[in-house]
Amino acid sequence: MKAPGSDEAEMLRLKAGDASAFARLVERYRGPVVHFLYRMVGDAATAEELAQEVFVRVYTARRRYRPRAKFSTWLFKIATNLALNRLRDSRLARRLQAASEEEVASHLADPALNIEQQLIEQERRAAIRQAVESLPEKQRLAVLLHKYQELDYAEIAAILGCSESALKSLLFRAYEALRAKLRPLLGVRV
Amino acid sequence: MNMKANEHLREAQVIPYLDGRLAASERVAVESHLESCLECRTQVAELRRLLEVLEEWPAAEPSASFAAELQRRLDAAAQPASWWGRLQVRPIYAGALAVVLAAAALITLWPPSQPEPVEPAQVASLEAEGVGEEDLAPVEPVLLENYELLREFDILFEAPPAKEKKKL
Repeated sequence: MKAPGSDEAEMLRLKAGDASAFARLVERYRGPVVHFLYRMVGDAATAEELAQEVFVRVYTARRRYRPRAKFSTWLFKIATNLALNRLRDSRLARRLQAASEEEVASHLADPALNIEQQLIEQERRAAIRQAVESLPEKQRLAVLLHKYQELDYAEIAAILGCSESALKSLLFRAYEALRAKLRPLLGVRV
Repeated sequence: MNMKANEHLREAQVIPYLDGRLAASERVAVESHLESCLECRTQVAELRRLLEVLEEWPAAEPSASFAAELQRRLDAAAQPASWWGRLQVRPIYAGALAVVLAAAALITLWPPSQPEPVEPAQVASLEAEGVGEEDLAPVEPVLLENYELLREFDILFEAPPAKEKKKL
């Protein structure tokens, strides 16, 4: 039995024809899905378009829905597949490579900071973004789903199609690579 | 899981330790090891800091028109598409149509063979030897096969005459 407000219960309501259940799921997940897709494809407009497509697919598949796995696992699996398909479009990949880090960083700059602070913050963000983007595809997905989406190990393993123990090693290797790349930002004294 | 005193942390242990997801006995073993191993202690401290630093990378937020745009897309998806719309939605159909049109154009515009110009006098002398004009056309066997194939293929796209119905 699913809890009344759970994602799976909402999907079952949607399956039964309750459109308001879909609106609640969109409200609950549009932020996380856009965040994930933005960090995957590196472009806000593309992330928004892909997120819309994710929800269109959820809605279209509502009558076939079976609550076998967590809804969020299914949702992020759809988002992952759409993002990977888009990234494999070489035109977008080239455009992303050519995209100005400065432009992206200034878009996200905090207006409360002075210019010098903003520049430092932009540089740190650009370094983090570049480090994550340089990870192999599976490691990058694992980091985004673990660190930024905070999915549990079982969900991430299901999305990536690996065992939980393999995922833990994958995450370790990904974070080790990031630790090496971002050491100047860490400033740790043991 | 027990750890030997001289054994470093295992790959699959480190991140669950930082996430607070190790079983109590394993966590105690890890912490005991960290007290005595500077290398692992440094690694864990840096990874813990890394997980904080990664939070500095913000993501774009959904636009204010997200829900309205989604509704528009759902409404569009619910509309029955015209036959032309379906072709636009499914590129495979457009591709198939392009192939069919190309084949039709090929049959119409590309003769199966180009006979070499033959001087009338030469024809006259060859006819005298019992050689017909068709035999003069230099036809590559493979091209001819393809042409026949395309001719047959063409039948598929034309309504056969009511009386002279060809057998396929």
